[in-house]
Amino acid sequence: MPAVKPMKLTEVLEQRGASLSYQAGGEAPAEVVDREIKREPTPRAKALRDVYFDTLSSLDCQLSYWYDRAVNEHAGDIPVMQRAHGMKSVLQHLDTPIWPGELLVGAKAGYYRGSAPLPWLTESFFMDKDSDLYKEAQKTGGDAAAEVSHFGAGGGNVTKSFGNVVSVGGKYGIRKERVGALHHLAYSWAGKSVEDVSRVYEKMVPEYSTKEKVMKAVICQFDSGYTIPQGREVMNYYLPLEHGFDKLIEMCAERAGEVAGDPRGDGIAGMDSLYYYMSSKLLVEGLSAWFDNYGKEADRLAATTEDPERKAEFLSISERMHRLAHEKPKTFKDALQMIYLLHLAELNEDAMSGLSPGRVGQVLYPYFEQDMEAGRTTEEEVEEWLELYRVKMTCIDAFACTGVVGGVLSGNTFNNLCLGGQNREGRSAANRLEMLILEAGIKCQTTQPTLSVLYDDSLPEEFLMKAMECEKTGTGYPAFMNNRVAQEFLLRQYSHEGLDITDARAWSVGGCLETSPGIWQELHLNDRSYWIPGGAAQPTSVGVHFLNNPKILELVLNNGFDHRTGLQIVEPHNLPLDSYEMIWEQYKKYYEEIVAVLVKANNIQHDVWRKFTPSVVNSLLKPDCFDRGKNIANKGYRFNATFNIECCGTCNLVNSLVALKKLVFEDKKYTLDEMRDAMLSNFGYKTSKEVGSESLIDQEKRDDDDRRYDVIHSDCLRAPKYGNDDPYADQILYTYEDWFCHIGDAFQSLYAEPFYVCQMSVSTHGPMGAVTGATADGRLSGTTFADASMSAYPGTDKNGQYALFESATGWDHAMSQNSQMNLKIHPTAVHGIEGSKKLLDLTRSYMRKGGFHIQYNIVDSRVLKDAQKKPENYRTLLVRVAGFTQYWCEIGKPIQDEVIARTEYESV
Amino acid sequence: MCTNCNHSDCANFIPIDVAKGICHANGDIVVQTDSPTCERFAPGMKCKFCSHLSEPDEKGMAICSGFAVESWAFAELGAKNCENFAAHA
Repeated sequence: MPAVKPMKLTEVLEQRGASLSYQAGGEAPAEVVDREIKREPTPRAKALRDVYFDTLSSLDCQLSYWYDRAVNEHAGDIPVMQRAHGMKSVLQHLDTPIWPGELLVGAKAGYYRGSAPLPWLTESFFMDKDSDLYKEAQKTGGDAAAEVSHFGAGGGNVTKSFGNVVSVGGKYGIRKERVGALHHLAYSWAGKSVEDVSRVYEKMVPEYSTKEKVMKAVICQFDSGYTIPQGREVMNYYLPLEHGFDKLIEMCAERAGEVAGDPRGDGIAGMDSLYYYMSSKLLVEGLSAWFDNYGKEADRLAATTEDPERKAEFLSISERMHRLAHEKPKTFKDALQMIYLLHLAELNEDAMSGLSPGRVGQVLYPYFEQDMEAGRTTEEEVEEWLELYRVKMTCIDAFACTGVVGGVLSGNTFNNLCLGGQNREGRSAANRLEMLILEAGIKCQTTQPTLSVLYDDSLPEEFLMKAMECEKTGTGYPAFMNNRVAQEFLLRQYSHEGLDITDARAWSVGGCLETSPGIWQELHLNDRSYWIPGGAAQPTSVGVHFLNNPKILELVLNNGFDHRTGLQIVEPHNLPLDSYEMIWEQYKKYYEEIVAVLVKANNIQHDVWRKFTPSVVNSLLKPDCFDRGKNIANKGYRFNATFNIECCGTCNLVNSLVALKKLVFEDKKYTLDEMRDAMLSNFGYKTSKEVGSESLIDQEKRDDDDRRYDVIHSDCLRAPKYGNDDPYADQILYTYEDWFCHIGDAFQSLYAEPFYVCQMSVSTHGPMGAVTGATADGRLSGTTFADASMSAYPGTDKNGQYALFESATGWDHAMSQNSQMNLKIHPTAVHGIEGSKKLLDLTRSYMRKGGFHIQYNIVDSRVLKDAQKKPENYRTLLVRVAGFTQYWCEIGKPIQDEVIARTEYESV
Repeated sequence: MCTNCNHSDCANFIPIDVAKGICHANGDIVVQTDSPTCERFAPGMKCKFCSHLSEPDEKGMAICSGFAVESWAFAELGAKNCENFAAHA
C-alpha cells in the first residue's frame, strides 16, 4: 500500500481559496535567466581567488601562543602593558607567508584563510566537550544559540573531521597535532578569560537568573562583551599614513616623557597616559617588525625563485615592506598595503566582525591622484590592485563560537567599504578611484569588502549608474545607505560629544549597516594636503544582541512561560489580556525588563574587557586617543555613545499584533484562548525540524491532524500584513517604532552614555525563528522570520515595491542607528540601460522618502533552488543575505530557504 | 626526504590550509600536507627543529628554553620569525 503523502501548507491553503505566492508584479519568464552583468578579474586576481575557492577555514595557534607567552612573562605589569607586550610579540613572531602571484601581502594567521583562538577573551566553546569547564559554561546559556545555528556544508567550512584535520565549532579545521596546544591554551585561560571573570560579576546582578533563562531560550542571541567586543566600527588609518612607524615610535616616546608622573588635572585617568603612550610604542614597534618580516620573506623567496618576472615582484614587495616598516607611504600601492596590514593587526586583537575599512576610495585618493599625475601608475594597474585587495579581504576569517559565527554572521566578517557621501564642504565626495573600486567589484566578485553607497542627491549620475551596473552582477553590493538620515541620527546621538554637521559628513558604515561617526583629518602628501575621513568611534554595535521580538510576544501570551525549554522566563503577569492595549502594554513591560538585565550583564562583560584586554591597536589609531593620551577604557575615542539594543523579527511581531488585534479584539472571530491553542498546536502542522525545512512554504500537516485549525490558520495568514500600504497594519509598526526607538534612553552603557537601537537581522532571523513557536500572523513553529526590519514577510507584499516603501517610511528612520530593506528582483525587470535607470529611480525613491537602507538580490530564484540541490555546481554563487554578501554554499540551510522564499519582484 | 615528516615540516612549503599547501621547490604546485615528501625536503623553521625545545610528549607539548624565561611550547609551532630559533646541529 503506497504511503500517504503529507499535506503541504500550499495544498491546505488552496483548498481554502488562498495562496502563498512568492512572485509579485507579474510572472517570471519560463526560462531561467542568468545575471546580466558578468566580467572577469585579471588573471592574477582570478588565480588567487581560485585558491580561495578551494581553501578550508583553518585554525592556527601561533598568535595565541605568542600572546600567551608574552603576557605570562609580563605578569606583574599593568594590564594594558601586558596586553601591548602580547600584541607586540604576536606581530613580531607570526609567520608571514606570501603566496604565489601575490603583490599585496599579509595574512591574519599562517594560512590563506586562517584565524586563531583568543582564549583570554573566551575559551569555553573550544574546550574539549567532556571537561567540567565546558559543561559549566553550557549551563549559563551563553551559547544556547549554537544548537539552532547552522553553517553551510560547502565551500571552505570544515563541518566534519577528516584525516589529520579536526573540525572545531562546525566550521574550522585544525591539524590534529595542534589540538593539544589548543586545549592547553583553553585550560590555561580558564577562570581568567573575559568570559569567565565577567560571569563571576554578572551573577551579582539581582536579576541574573532571568538573564540565564533569556539566553537559554534564545530570546537574546549572544553576549557581546566576550564574543565580539570590537568591530562594527570604522578603521582610521590616518596616523601611520601621515607619520610612518619610526616617527610614531618617536612621538610615543616623547609624549610618554611629557606625561610621566603628571596627572594634568585628571585625578582618575590622568596618570594612565604614561601607560597609554608606552603601550602604543610597543604596539608600533611590533607593527614595524611585522612589515619588516614580510620584507624578509620576500627576500627569501626572491633568492629561491628563478623566474625573473616573479623574482622582480618579490624584490618589489621586499623594497616596499622594508621601507614601510619605517617610513610613511609614498604611493597608492604603499598606502593600500599599509591599510591592509593595519586592518589585519586590528582584527588580530579580538574576535571580530564588522571591522570596516571605511571610505577607502577617499582615504587613498591623494596617492592615486599624485601617482596618476606623475605617470607612476595606470588605472588598469590600480584596478588590479583593488581586485587583489578584494581577494585578500575575502580571506579574512573570524574564530568565535557557533552561535555568533553561524547564527549571526553566517561565516561572514562584514568589512564594509563605503563610497560616495559628502565631502567636508558638503559636496559630492565620489571620485574616480571609487569608480575603479566599483569596477573591481564587478570584475572580481567576492564577499569582501562588501560595498555600500552613502546615497546623497548630490552624487553624480555617472557614479550612481556605475553602482547600478555593479548591482546587476547579482552580488548584492553595493547597498545604499541614506546620507541625510544617517547624519540626522548622528547629530541626535553624538552632539553632546561635540559632533557637528562637518563631522557628520565623515560618517561611514561599520559592519553591515551600523551608522558610525567619523571625523576629517588633514593628510599631507608631498606639497599638498587633503582632508580624509576616518572612523572616530568605539564599536558601534555592542550591547544587547539580538532580541527576539516575536518570542517576547509569545512570553506575553503564555504568562512569561517558554514551552520549548519549559522555563518560566519572567515572572507571570497573570493578566486577563482582555484587550489589545493590555497585550501591548505587557509586551513593553517584559521587553524593558529583559533589556534592563541584559544591559547590566553586558556592561559588566565590557567593563572586564576594558580592564584586562582593552584595544591597543584601535586605541592608537582612533582619534582622539593619541592627542588625549587615553585609550578606549578611558574614553579616549572621540565618540563613545555607541552601545545599542538590537532586535530581530520586527515584521513577524507587527503582523502578529495586527492579527491579534483584528481577529480577537475587533472582529471577535476567535477568543485569545482559541488563538493560543492554535499556535501552541502549530495549527496542526509538523515541526519544521520534522519537515527538514525552515521555510513556511515547505511545511506539512501532522499525520494525525484533524484539520480543526485550518480556518483559524488561513484567517491568520489573511489578516492585514505590513508592506502593502495598509494603514491598519502600518500603524502598529509606527507605534512600535515610536516606543522602541526610545527604549535606549532609559539605560546607560558602562561609559555612562545613552543606548540607541539597531534594527537589522544579520542571520539571526534563522536561529531566532527556530526557537519560536507558531505566531499569530500564520507563521509556523520553527520557521525563519522575515529578513531585515523593513522587509515584508515573504509572499505577503502584494502591492508592489512602492506600496512597501509607503509602509516602511511612515516613521522617522533617523531615530534608529539603521533600518533594513532587502528586495529580490528578477534580472529581466532591470535589464539593460533602461532597467538600470529604473533601479536607480526605485532606490532614489526609497531614499527620498526617508528609508535608511536598501539592498537587492537580482537573481532568478530558480537559480538558488538549483544551487541548493547541486551546491557543487555553484561554488562561486554569491547572494545578499542581510547587510552582507555571502557564498551560497557557506550559508546554513535555514537562511538559504529564507532567501529563496523572499518575494521575487518580476517588474519594477 | 623525511619519513617522519609531512609537507608542512618543509622549508619549501607555503601552507594554504590545514590540508594542503604550495611546494615552492617544485614550481609552486599544490601538494596535500600529508602526502609523502620528496628528495628536496629541507627542514623548515618549526619548534620541533629547534635545539631549544625539549623532547615533546605524545601530544607534541614541550618546554622552550630559548628565551630568558622558560615556557611551554609545542612541536608544531611555526618559528620562522622567532629571533632565537636555533636549528638542530
